[in-house]
Amino acid sequence: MRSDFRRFKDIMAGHKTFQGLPVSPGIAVANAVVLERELRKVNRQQIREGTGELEVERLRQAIQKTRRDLENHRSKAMASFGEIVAKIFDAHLLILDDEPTFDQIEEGILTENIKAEYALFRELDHVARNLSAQQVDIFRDRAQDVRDVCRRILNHLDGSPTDSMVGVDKYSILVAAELNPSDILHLDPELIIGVVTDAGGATSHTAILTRILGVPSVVGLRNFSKQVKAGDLLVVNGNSGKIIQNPTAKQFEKYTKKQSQYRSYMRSLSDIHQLEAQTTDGHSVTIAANIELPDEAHRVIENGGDGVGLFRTEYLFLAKGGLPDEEEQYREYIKVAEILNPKPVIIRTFDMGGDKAFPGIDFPHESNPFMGWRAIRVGLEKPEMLRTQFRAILRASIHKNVSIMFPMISDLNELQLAKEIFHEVQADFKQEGIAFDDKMKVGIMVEVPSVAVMAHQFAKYVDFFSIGTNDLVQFTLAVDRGNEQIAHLYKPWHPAILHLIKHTVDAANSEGIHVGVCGEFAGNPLATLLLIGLGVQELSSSPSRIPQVKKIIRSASFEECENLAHKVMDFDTSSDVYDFLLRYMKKRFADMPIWFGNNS
Amino acid sequence: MISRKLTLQNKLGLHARPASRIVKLATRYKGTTVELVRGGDIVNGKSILGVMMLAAGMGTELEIRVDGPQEADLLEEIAELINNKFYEE
Repeated sequence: MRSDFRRFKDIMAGHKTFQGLPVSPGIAVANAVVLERELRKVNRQQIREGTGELEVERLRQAIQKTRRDLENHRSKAMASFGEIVAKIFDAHLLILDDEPTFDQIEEGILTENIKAEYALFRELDHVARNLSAQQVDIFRDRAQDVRDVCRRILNHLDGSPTDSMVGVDKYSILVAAELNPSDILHLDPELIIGVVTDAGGATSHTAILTRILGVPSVVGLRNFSKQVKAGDLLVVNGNSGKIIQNPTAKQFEKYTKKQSQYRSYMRSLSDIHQLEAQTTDGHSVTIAANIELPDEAHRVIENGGDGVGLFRTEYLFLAKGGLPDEEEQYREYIKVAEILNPKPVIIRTFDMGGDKAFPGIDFPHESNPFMGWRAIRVGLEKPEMLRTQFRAILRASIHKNVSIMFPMISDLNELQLAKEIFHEVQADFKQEGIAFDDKMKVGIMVEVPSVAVMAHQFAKYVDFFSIGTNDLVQFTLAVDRGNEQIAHLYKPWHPAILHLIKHTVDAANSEGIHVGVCGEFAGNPLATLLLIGLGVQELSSSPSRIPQVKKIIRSASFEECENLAHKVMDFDTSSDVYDFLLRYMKKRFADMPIWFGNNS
Repeated sequence: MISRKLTLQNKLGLHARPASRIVKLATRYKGTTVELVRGGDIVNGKSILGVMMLAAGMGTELEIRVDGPQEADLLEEIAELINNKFYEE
């Protein structure tokens, strides 16, 4: 009765919760700023006869200012994120260079005596609508660029601040239907303490960039931005993906406390960076990071990581809009190798396919793309593409800190074919006299259950295993991780997963090869002691997770980890495993505000 | 005015980069005009937005119309780009 009453009151106050995809960890409580992403309609307005020349001059100046802005963004992006992100602005600059289009706009002003704003809007809105209506996404996605350019010029025309973040003068949470990389580049992490978008997945620009900036972020909230008003109080939980709109006084208090605890806890971890990830009884573990952009390598060092356990290379495709050539790939790989040197870097060959379109490769329509033509399967059918990548990786190995890893291996034959091509390229290098590390380690992702089951066999042919839990869970439990209807069945805590991990680790240990876990599971504090106890030698997740994982490892003994793992391996269901670990870890680390989460 | 019909053979068709290569090439020839025709749509070959709006994918047949003092040279260069898949594959 009482709780019913309270719920009623909450609804009256507009209290609502939403569930999205957490992509950058942390807690934020603040008022919302809602970013308008739609292009405001401009109405036809006439100007006085004979003032057309002045109007054209006004437009030209606004275009000139816009060009300067974009060039500034480009160099800012270059400095903080590197060439790949910087290139995103080239598309905008290309549009500004479109002489025939701007000539036509100027002609409209002169012959029809209309305001520059209207002439510009009329033309570019027409183009944007036309592009939006296209079937193929590479054309459709460009509509956003056209609107962005149009909005920028319009803002300069009426003198309003053109960069969205100007005007935010207190802690705020940024809400938008979707964000352009330029929006995120402008976000001041001191003031924008959370980011929430309707669109986007774990590999969207928003996800990648907010993780790099260390701003809590939740994406994939459908039409959330339409339901939020500027000034609404929001709680953003970047650990669980939960958003609370207009929280109750009690919730507000609870999350504000969590927010400040989390912040001071993160600050307190800064002294752990230089310390080794070692248990109290001297068992050392490698704590590495997964990265997507070369410049994230700096974050790995700043957070005290021991290396890069997974350098995803797909971003090169997406940013370039096509297949990157050897030189382009080499530049990115060597950059990471040099930033990390002498710490190790594992470069994973392209894992294209799945739910993402890759410009430059013709993907057939598939009804089950995650189990379809992707990753090494594409590579083996396009050996030239694989060779080019091998060459770039080999060239980047001169500091002897680079390893190579193949994704989505499901059969020994695929591994052998991939290795054969790799050896051919190495032989070419010898013949051509190109320097490379001839002792480079070759490993595979263990993410298809067949490989985990046959790990003892695979271990004879590789130098290391990296267990990719995201796909291993999806394939073992037959649960599509993008399908919301069955999201509750996606359980990394399932005993079957733990047994496959243990089986893989045991096989690796008996062959004397290195074994790590990459994927979100490796960064989940609830799993840290368990994975170490199972004998995993390396944990690799987001750079921002490193200090916390290290802290947990440095607080426990290896004996404790082994006992814990031993106990957990006897459980029958995922909820037994999860409930036990949650209770154990919460009690064990009661003095630290570690977020143990409520959904894996 | 001269013209030629050409079929796009590269996988992604006239998306941003190939489109910008045609535009850059066409822009070098001052005083010569280029039109790309697809069905009933005619766009200015010196406008990146125009070319993109054709949304011409692989296998699309385009008519290229060139008019001006160096029309033959320019048409030849455009044909070479398209027939060589924009040197990207």
